Amino acid sequence: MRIIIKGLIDKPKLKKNITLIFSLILTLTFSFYTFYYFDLKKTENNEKIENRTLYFKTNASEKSLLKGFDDKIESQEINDSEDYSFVVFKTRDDLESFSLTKKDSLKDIVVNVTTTGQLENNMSLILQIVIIVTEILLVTLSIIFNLNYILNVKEEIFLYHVLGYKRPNTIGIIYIFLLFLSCIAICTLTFINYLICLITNLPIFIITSVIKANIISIIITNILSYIISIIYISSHNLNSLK
Amino acid sequence: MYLENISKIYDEKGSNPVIALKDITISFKPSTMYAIMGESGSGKTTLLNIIGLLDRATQGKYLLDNKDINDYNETELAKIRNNKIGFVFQNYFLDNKLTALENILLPTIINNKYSKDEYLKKAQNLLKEFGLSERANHNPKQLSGGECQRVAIIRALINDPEIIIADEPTGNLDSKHEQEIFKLLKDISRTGKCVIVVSHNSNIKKYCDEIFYLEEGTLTTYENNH
Repeated sequence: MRIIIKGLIDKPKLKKNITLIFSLILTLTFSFYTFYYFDLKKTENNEKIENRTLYFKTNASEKSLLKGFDDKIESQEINDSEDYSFVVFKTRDDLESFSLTKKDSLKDIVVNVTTTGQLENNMSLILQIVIIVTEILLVTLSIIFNLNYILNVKEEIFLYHVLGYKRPNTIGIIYIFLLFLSCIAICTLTFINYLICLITNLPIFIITSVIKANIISIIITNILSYIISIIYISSHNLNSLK
Repeated sequence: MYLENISKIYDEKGSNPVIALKDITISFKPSTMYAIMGESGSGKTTLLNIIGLLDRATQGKYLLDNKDINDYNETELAKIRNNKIGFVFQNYFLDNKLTALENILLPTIINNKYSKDEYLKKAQNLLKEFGLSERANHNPKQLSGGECQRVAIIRALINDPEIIIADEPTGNLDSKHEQEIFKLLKDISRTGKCVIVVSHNSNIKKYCDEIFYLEEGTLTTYENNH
């Protein structure tokens, strides 16, 4: 088996493959961390009392305004002697849903409502796009690389075929080896992730999301490119290589 | 080994079918060296591919050990190739990433005739016999053309096959090495093996027992040197 692997493995090509997979996984991991970081920050901000409070003019018919939102209100203070009153909602989402529903009635009476998380919201969106694009890149580039690898070793595949090896098995050996290397890359990154979590105090559960995404990408990549390679190699007359 | 009315047509169902071989009937015996000669495009390599089970005939019967090879599936054909047939090619077909010894051992990995150690000893003996002991751990890139071809011949012999198929084995060699390779193949045929050489080099004639000529996919002439 050692001889077969030595014969079928093109070291310079593999180095490129590992660098490609490693850097894409690293980008993916970084994007995930930043995404969760902003998500946590946003949740943290939304929990602050000032971000759940709506200030409005007292002369408004506040009681009818708050009708139907009683269960979403944490506390309220209606003060006729002051210029304004305020309502504290249980969550930021409740406040936003209230503002949206009563948009027209609130237009003239709202004194102040803190706008929060604009930066976090934008970053979350950008990072989600980055994650999706990186995932697509990871799968597409890995498939292209794996196919390119197979085309580069097709002379060796023909040689093994002549010597009595079955073509699908030979290609399978290459892919098992590539999968094995990908697993090593994932394990290394998992360890790095774990260290990052320990150092930055980010929740450990984030690791599972990162690993899940990476493993799914790599498995899909390998299975797809294996199937495409088998179809390609089987449909070509390799005798012409002689 | 007996081939009866073998024809090979490429793109048979397409608009431009190409007839590569037409009604070839031929038989091969052990302890004999054969040459298949002809111009480029006469169908020599196609015939060799069919004999070597690398390709199937479109029509006709091919009996190997009295069994029709059409009855075998791809897995069984691969096993027969590994056990019974040794291949030698013009461009040696050695893996540059492996040493000469590793190249020789490549067909033995999926063969259970002998143990690993026995195969290793056999490979070392053959390397010694062919004057390549000192080159066992060299890569093909570090060997001369003649040495590469000798390594390829040892690889073809390692599983003790009954048939040796050589496709233009001296195509990349000078005349000195050419004679050396032909002589080696002749010696191999004397050990009981059937050696089939495809060549357009007329120097091979004096080494062969029987010579077939192909012209546009048809067997035209036959010479017996016995």
